[in-house]
Amino acid sequence: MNFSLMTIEEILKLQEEGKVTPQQVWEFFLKKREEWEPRINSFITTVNRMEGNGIPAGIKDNITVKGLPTTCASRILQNYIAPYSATAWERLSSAGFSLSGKTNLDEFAMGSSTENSHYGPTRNPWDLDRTAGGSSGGSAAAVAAGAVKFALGSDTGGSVRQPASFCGVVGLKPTYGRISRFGLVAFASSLDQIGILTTNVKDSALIFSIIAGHDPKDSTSSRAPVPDYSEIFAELPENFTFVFPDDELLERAEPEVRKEFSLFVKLAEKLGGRGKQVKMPLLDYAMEAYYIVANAEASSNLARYDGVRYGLRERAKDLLEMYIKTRTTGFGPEVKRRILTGGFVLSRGYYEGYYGKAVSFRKALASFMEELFSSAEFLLIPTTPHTAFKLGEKQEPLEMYLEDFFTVFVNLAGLPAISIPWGLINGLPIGFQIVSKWYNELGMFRLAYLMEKEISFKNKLIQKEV
Amino acid sequence: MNRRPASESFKLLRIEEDEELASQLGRIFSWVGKLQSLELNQEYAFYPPGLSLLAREDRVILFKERESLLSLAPEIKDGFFVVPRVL
Repeated sequence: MNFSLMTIEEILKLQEEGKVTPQQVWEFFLKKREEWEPRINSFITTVNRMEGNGIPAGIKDNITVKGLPTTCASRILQNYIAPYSATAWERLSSAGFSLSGKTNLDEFAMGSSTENSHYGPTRNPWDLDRTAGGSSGGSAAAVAAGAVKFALGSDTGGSVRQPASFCGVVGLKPTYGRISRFGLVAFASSLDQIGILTTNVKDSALIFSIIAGHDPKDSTSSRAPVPDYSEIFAELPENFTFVFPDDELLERAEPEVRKEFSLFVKLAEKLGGRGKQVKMPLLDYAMEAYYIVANAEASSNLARYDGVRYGLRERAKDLLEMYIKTRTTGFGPEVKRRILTGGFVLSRGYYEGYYGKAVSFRKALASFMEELFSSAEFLLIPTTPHTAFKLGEKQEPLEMYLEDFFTVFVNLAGLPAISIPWGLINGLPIGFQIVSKWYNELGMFRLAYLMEKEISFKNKLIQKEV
Repeated sequence: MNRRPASESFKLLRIEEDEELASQLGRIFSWVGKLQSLELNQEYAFYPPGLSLLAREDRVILFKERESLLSLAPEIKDGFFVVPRVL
């Protein structure tokens, strides 16, 4: 039996009927992991002990699991063992899922290619010379290769959806506050959100229904009711409204992506949607606002890595020298660049012009999105401007930042979005996003499921029996 | 370019005389500066709908496994963190 091609619900049903055992499921995915891992480097830590139903999860290595390392792919945390588990993992563990390992990422989730990992880059299983995306590249690659059934990532500016698009899997970024951030190592607290990577929309909805919901340990977690999984697909949209960006904005994507996206829009219309093209001029400024807000918050959040309470400590003659040596050798170049820019935009004389402006921009963007969703239920938009690029191809930081053009506005406004695989361009996967208004994950799942059925994307990597 | 803004995070990193880094940062500051051309209302607080500034009740919750936290420190003595001399 090929468990990679089944939904989690189907595997659990087979277990209930006594047709398969948790051990068989666990061993199936373990073999896949052993087959792929030497080539793709999607894990930082692996676990070989099965628990519960044997369905394995990958957890991004910036999410804590008690007793295991949480390195954030950084030298500064290479010996850190988490003394507590993240609420998201606690809930999955209580539901019976097994942990297959902690997945690779860009250091502290800062990057779009997993090349900023202290543990080496993750390679895209579709083409080993290419990036799996980032920062949740390890999670996306492991799911795409069938090494795990699903994975958690974190999405601060597109870090779940972009690798999902590059690897041909489903990537969910819920509404800000839907999933507790307790145990997620903070990068930019007002933007960070735990997300889910799966091979299909139903699994995404199931895992969401398990881990979403208020947590007293995270004061920013929402008290909004979470849709019951058994009801999510009870009805599907028949007549719905959606908007999509005008040609000027779509110029940001490569021609092949634009061509495929127009077919994606046509499919939505064929399924009963009434679509309208809209101008979204504010999106031209979203990248800049994002990098100001994210780096400002990162410069503050990362001040805790000082060699006193945990993590790396370099020997020095006095305290100040210890701080400086520890942070200078412990952080990689991208993290340093972000701390420096974050410190700058918060400094006296620059605060109003940079940080103040960026926060005002968020407010304006959220108002714009609110108006947009008063006339339509969904926004359809590409996830990435192109398919996965080659490892080492983007050396200039600015060029890498622009990778997130179609995703960061979602985080700035705190909206939910899901990227679903559409097809292949020159043999590489491409995904497109469905974005909806705050807390409408249910509507988003229903449309994504409806479209997924029609698209019927075949992930060739998981077709083979073990 | 100002290499030493008044920020704690800045002070705690040693930036070598690295021309490439300096020019990268120059390009990043110039790029994010584009935002300054936008006319916006000065509304600073932003929360997604349904969330506002939620503060937890101000009470101490003891972490039961205090020793496990202390054991992560590079150096401890009698339950305190040990650091190199300050001055």
